[in-house]
This record gives sequence, C-alpha cells and structure tokens, in this order.
Amino acid sequence: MRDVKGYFWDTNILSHFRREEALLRQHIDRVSWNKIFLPSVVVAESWRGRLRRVDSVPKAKPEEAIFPHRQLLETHDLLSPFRVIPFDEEAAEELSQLQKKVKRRKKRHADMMIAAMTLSNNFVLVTRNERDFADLLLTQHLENWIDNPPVVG
Amino acid sequence: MEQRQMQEFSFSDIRVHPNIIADILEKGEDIAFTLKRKGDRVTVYSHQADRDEEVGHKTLEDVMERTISLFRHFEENADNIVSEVKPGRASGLLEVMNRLAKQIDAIMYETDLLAVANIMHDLTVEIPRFPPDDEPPEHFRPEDLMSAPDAEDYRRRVERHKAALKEVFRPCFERIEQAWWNKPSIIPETASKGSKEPDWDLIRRIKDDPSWDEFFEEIERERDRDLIWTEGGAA
Repeated sequence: MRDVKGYFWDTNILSHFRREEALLRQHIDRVSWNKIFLPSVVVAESWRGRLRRVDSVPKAKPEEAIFPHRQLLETHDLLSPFRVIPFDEEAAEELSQLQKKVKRRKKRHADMMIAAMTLSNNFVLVTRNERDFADLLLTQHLENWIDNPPVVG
Repeated sequence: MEQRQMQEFSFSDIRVHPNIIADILEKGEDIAFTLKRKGDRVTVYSHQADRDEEVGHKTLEDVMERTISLFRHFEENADNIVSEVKPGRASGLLEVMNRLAKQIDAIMYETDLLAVANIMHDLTVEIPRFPPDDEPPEHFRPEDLMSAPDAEDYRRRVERHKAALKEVFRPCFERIEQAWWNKPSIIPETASKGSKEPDWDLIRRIKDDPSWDEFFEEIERERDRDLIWTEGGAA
C-alpha cells in the first residue's frame, strides 16, 4: 500500500471543485484535506487570468470594473483554503532533467513545471488531462479524480 | 599469450558439430578455447588469442552474473539509493526500471541481454555510494565476449538468462518503487498554511456562475499558447 505524501491539483480540477462535483468530493473525503496542495504554477495562472480581466476594463467605463473586481476577490477566497507550494530549486532541477529526457517536441510549459514540482515533492498529480502528462510522469504519479471513483481498500 | 598443447584429438572424438568449429575458425587464425564447467554443464568458449589482453575476458554468463548481482544490490539498498540520488534522478531511476520491465520481457537475443546489462552498468555510474570495490567496466559489446559455439543451445541459453533476470528484476523494481513512495517528503517551509477544510459555503455561492467555466477554459487556452521545446531524442 503506497503512502502518498501529497496531491497536487491541476487547474482543471479547480474548475470541477468549484462545481462541488460529487465524485471529486468523495476523493477529497477519502484523503485528508491537508494532503491536497496547489502548485504555485496553478495559482499564478488563476491570478494572471483574473488580473488580465481587471486590467482590460476600459477606464472610461468604471461600472464594468465591478464584476472583475468581485471575481478577483472570489478567486482569492477559492484559493485561500489550499496550501500552496512554490516552484523551488529542486523543482527547477527536475524541470531541467525532464526537458532533457522527453523526446524532442513542443510541450506546454505549465505542464512541464507542474510535472517537475510533482516529482520534486514526491507527490501525485491530480488532473483530468492525463494524456498531456503521459510522457512526463509515470501512471503511478497521476490520478484522475473527475472520471474515476476512489479505489476502496 | 603462452600456449600449451594439452591433447590432440580429431573431430570424430568430440561432440561439437564440426561446422561450428569451422565457423569459429573462419573468424580468425588464432583462436583460443576455454571450457567452463558449472555442475554437469560444460560450455566451450572461443576468443581470439591475440586480442585477449584487451577484450574477451568475459563470457555472457559473467556479464549476466554481474547484472543479477546489481539488481540484488539495488533491491537490498533501495531506500539508500532512492533517498540519496540527486533531485531529478529518483524519478528517473523509477522510469528506467519501468522501461527495463518491458525490455526484459522482450529479450530474444544475446544482444538484448547485453542491452539490459549496459543499462544497469549506466545506473552504477549514476548512483552514489555504489560499492567502491566494484569497478564498472565499459559497456559490454557482443564482439568483446568470449563466444560460445554451442549454437544449438542458443535459444535455450538466452531463455535461461532471461528467466534469471526476470526473477531478480521483479523484487528489485518493487523495492525501488516502494522506496520512492517511502522517500521522506518534507512540505517546504515556504508552503502557505491554507485552512483545515474547504469553504463549501463560498463554493456554493460561485457554483452556478457560468463565467467561471469561461475563466478556466481561457487558462487552458493560455497554456496551449505557452509552449517550450524539449531536448530529448528525436520524436
């Protein structure tokens, strides 16, 4: 029986978390909440998206700023219960190894960074995009909590 | 190389088919034979007498014996090996093991056996604190081996080594995998605190807001646009 130290959530899982999907809740109830983490890459993506929306509001139309600013706060509230782990020196070393190892092709940079963080922290990555990580992580390091029910026992 | 005539014999006195001897003699003028006995099993090896100072010291059996001892070493020291390798190498080791599992299953020829031996050789170079008394040889090449002219036994011999490798590989792989999972994982001090549980009330407030779907879709599109080239072998 493997002892998983921590689970990193990919951004697509946040999307399902926001909908409070039943299967995802079963997984969350099965593992303790303090084992669930967000890689800082995922947090950065969320903030980047929200800030872009805030910045895109025309200054001449202040009333259009209300909604993006409200969502900025909701995003803060959505992310704040999570423990966030930063991309650090070990992750950078893992990323460097991954870049050398994976067959020459174009890869999504964020996927590479998240995979490197998963490896450096000895975690399991929870994602619905398993295919994108298939050449970065072994199947033992990937779980899909959206389509697959928790394994009992 | 000093040579001593020990016995004269004719082809009819030996049980090795003359064609096999002829094939070996065709490879060179100075051929030396070595007989190796293990229990009832006697194998005849040949090597070129004028090259034996550089190569030809090892038989396939020697190479396999060493490879099997490496698998056992990895199995017995899995925790130390996994915990002490540099960042980026522990997961790499697991991946190599994953690949070896498929490679061992597919063994058909002597060269396949040597390929496994060479991968293990590479790992001994990568892994810290490898037994200092072990002097890693260069890569094993088929032409450097003392050949065994027991041609009719070729398939059986490969199968025998394959079975032996499989027997030691499985527990080795399992121990390395277990060691990977057991590897102490210290949550970095720089990690944020978070809360004891999710705020389900907040989540219910934004649950039905369709703009969130659009927001996450936009993040995926952004990811699709931010690409980098990896540097590994050709796709």
